[in-house]
Amino acid sequence: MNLFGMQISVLKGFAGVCLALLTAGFANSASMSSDHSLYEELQGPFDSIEDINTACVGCHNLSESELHDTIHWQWDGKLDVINNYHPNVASNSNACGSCHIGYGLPKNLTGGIEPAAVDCLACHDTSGEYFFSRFHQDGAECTMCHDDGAKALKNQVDEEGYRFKNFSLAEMAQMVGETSVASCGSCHFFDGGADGAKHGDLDSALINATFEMDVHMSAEGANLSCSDCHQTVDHKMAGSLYSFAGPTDDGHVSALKGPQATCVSCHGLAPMKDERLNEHTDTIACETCHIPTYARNGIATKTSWDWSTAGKLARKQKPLIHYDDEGRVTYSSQKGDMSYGEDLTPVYRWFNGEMNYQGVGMSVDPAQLNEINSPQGSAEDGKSKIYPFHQFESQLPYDTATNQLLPIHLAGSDRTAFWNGYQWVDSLQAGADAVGMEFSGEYGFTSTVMSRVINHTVAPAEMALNCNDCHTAPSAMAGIAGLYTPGTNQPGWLTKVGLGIALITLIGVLLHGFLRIIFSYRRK
Amino acid sequence: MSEAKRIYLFKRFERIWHWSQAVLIILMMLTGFEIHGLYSLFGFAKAVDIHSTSAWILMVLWVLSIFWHFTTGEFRHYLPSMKGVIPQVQYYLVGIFSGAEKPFHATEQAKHNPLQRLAYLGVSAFLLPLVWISGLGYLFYNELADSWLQSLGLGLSEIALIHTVAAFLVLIFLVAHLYLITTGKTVGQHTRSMITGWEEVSEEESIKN
Repeated sequence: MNLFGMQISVLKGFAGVCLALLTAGFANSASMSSDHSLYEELQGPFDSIEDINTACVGCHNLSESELHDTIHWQWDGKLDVINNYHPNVASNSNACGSCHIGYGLPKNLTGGIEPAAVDCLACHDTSGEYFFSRFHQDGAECTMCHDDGAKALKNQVDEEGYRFKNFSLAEMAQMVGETSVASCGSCHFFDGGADGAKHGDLDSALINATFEMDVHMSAEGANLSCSDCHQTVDHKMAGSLYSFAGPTDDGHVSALKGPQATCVSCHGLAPMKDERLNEHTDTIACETCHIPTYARNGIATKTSWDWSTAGKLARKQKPLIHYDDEGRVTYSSQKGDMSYGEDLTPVYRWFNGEMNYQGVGMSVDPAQLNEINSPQGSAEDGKSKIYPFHQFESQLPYDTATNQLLPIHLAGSDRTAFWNGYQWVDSLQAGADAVGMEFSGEYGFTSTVMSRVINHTVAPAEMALNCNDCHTAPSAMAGIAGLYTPGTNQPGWLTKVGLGIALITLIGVLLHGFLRIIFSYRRK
Repeated sequence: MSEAKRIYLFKRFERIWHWSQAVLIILMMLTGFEIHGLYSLFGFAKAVDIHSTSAWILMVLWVLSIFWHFTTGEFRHYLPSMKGVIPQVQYYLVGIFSGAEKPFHATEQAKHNPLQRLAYLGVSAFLLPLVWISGLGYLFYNELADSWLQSLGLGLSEIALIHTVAAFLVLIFLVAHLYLITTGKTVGQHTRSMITGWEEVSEEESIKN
């Protein structure tokens, strides 16, 4: 029975690998079938980056309308929910807009993002220069990606010169191609204020990942790119937490559809050689064992952020910046105190794929740790598994009269923006005005926690959690409601009573034997 | 002293069964209590492997021994009866110290004393099946959970609880058993007969029975 099961799982694994190779092959042949450098439309010269878009959509005439329908354009979810890093998009569209795939966001985003020209090269640049230059030349707020406003990098730039100035717009347009780890990472690696700061499982080391960092993305491993798993249909991306499906989906995916952004879509539910390990997959998500720690690529992720200390200024109203020994920003006047961690052990909890998010103005209890988002699920709902999470705590401003979190107006050209004027009342009032909230003028700071599910940086099998990690005390699964983990979960009284009676029996028989010896000597 | 007489109490299969069961049960206790989390000896993974492999061997042995007991009629040695139980208890509590005559002497017709008869019946008809059934529930929990285990209100923790309670009872039985086999005519008498199959009884005793 075991042997049979093993063959099945080996076959499944093999099928998964074939599928990955097959789709990787398709991807390559697609980019090989046309040479964009030969197209007349792309010969340039281009005066502006918008002109490149005009050239692109001249042939790809459906792409824009497709993209307008995607999360990368609409930011559905992101626009309405808050996080506890840079808490809200509202009123900060200038700063947030550097990561939008258009050419700048309108100031007021309350009604969603209207269709407009799409910046194709934001994702399809292969030179590595385009999106880098775009961030640095279109007036993006430095502080969004660099906690110290890139102060530390300025010396480097002075010494080494600008990193990229090799290609003209026309050359970059001719080099258009598939998305890459680097192009996706230009937004997804640097959000939260620094490399790897927000997603403990996504950082720039993945561009040249080693096998230990990520078995899927490293060249020695599967050598996959982001889009090999996050496949698109009409530019719609698979695997977003906002869509309440994807990373936790157990459904089978047709091979013709290509892999979805789930472990199971390539590996199935019984991918391991040991059937006993496969028995775990009904309860334990793959990631839980196979991403034993995160932020382990030599790049730290943020573990906490205290906005309440932001705004302290040095003499002459100059902003302060403190670094730790590793060069990480531990305090900046723009942001407050921040702390970091590497090689972190996740927090484990039940998750059924549904994440409850909160919006601007969320009610808080200042005496408690408030959940900014809460992964749904339990042992009883029949569809949850235990997933690894990065838990991030921060102190956020709230209105002490109404106990509602307040949006912060961070960036812009006006003095009410916190990063210009460093006045909480002004920036909270401006933030509240932007979303139509009342602000009493009295504010405080309250503790919040956010849970981010960890899906990337799958480690080599030898590094995965082993039996002892969960089945001997202290168990990695300790304290998870409704989970029975053999070896650690039995009631204390059972051992005490069981061993107690056995011990009494032992003492009893030893005493009996002792008396036998005494009496037999007496009889002699 | 009367002359000694030897009777053949334990057949070859019975002895092989007894000793392989002894080894397997001790191995399962060692690994089982490690899985329970009492100590670390083999490591959890190895302990689970040894525990389940031994379990399968033991279950095969169990089926064979049921077959053997019924086809040879040996099951009669385990038919429950209260006859002679009280004198046997009195002997263990009092007589054994004063050097009184044993109330029971083994014969080919009744190789176990009345107390043994009940204890062994209890162990093999109730306790060990409880271990095996709960153990199978444990092994096949995923396959059986949805179909009927959960409808019986048995989650993995309940099954594990039953299994562990049974295991402690087996441990208690083992302690008592290891001691009581020293209460023969000599300390090693019962052990020797379980090894060779032969038990020495005096002529006088065999006549009396």
